[in-house]
Amino acid sequence: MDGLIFQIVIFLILFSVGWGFGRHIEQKHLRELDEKERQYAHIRIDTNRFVETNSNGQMISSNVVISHDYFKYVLATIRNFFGGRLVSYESIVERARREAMLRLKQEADRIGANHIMGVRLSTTELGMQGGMVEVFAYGTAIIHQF
Amino acid sequence: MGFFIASIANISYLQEDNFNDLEKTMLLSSLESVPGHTISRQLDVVYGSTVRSKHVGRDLMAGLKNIVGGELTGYTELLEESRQEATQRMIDKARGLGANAIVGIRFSTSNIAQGASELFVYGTAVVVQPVTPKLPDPFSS
Repeated sequence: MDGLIFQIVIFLILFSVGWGFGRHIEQKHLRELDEKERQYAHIRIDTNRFVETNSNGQMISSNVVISHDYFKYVLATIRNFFGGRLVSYESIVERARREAMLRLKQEADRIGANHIMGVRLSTTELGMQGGMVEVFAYGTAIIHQF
Repeated sequence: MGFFIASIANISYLQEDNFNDLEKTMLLSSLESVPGHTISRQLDVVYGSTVRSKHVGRDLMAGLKNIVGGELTGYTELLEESRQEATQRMIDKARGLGANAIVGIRFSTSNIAQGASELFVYGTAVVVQPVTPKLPDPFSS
């Protein structure tokens, strides 16, 4: 009986910590993303791979690994039982994609490019118990000479 | 314990390979052509792969981070350097064929065992020549 109470207490602590910190980290991340996306908005991105250009370019890549929090894990477990959209996980994957694209833009900015062509995104699930998602973005940065 | 051994292994691994000066001579592109160059000869498909596992120290941190959420910097770095190694292997193969560029590069990742993932990269090795910049024709205007 004591063991059960102990487990419930541990669960509640993890749940509330996950809820508080997870929310805080997610909102901070989204604010940073909004701000930086405006900063790098001048870099164009397309997925066209048949472009002919006389400018020079090189391949760039970026990746990010984002993990879930305990609150989302519990929500997803409950949701898994009934089926339907896992909204809590959708937000993780979206944040990871936006972050990867942003880092790709930063990388392009660092080498002085303002156009990225042939962008590809790949998503991998890392953790064995789920919950860790990696997004890898790569493309060819073009340095336009005017 | 695992953390210390793994960090020592990491340091010696970093000293062994020096990517940057080799990568400069090989042009890489995820497009069907290298920007600013024309393909003069198609050679062969080249690929490189590496299987890496995470170490105990990073795993422990990731376990804690799983509760609060957010970015796992350790894994991000690990995957990045693993991909660099795979790319380096691909470049070595292309150099063996006598290529000076690799076009149409694609990456893929798969979980093959508990805690280990394979990073695979492939592309077409080609010989390219720089496009000579077109000078404005003095007689046309």
